[in-house]
Amino acid sequence: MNVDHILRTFGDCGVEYLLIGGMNFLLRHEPVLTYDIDFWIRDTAANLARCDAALRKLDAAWGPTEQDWRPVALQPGWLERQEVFCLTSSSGAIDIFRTVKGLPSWAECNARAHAGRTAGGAAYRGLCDEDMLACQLALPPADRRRSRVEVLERALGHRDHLDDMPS
Amino acid sequence: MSTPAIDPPATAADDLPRQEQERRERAWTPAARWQAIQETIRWAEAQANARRNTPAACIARERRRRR
Repeated sequence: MNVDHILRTFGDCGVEYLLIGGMNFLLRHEPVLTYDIDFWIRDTAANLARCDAALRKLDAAWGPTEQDWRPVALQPGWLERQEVFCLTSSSGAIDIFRTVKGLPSWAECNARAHAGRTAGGAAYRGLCDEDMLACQLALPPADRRRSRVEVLERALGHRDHLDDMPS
Repeated sequence: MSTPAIDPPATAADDLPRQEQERRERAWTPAARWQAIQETIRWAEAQANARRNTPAACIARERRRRR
C-alpha cells in the first residue's frame, strides 16, 4: 500500500476529506494492521468531482458486482449512486464515505480535525481523537475495536465504555 | 498447609526484550519506520487470507459498511 501517494493525490486534486478508521488511528497513535484507507469526503457536487478526479489518477475501480467491476474513469456519475464505496486502486484499497454514523456534520468535524504529515511528508487531515472515539462507540459493542477504544480513552483521559466490549 | 507461591524478583535478563525493542525504536528514523509500516501492510495484504484490494473483498466490505 502506498499511503503517501494516495494522500498526495487527494491533496493535489483539492479533495476536502477527513481521514477516518485504522489509518487515521495508525498515524495519530500506534501501528495497527489496516488494509485500506478510509476517507470521509465533504458531500458537495464540486467535491465529489474532485474526489472522482483523484480516484481516476489512482486507477481506482468500482462496481456493484464483480462482473461490473470497472475503472471509475469509465463510469460518469458513479459517486452519486450510494453513500459508501469500497474501491480497488493501484496504490491500495480505498474506502469512500459520503456520510458517517455517530458524528455531527462533516463541517463540524473538519473544524476540530487534526492536520498532520506522514513520516514520508504527505499532508493529511483526520478526525480528532474525540470524534474517532465517537465513531467507535457508534458501532454495536461487538463490532468495536477494544484496543483502539482503550488507547483513545487513555489519550482523552477517560474510560467509560470498555465493560460491554469483547476483548 | 501449602506454601504460597512467590514470584521470583525480576532480573535484568527479564527486561532485556523490552530494552532491545526500545533501543531499536530509538535507532529507527520516523521515515524508515513509516516505510516499514507501509511495506508490512503491502506484505500482509499479499497473503492469500488477507486480500482487501480485490473486487470481491471490496464488495463484501461495502455490504458490511452499508448495513
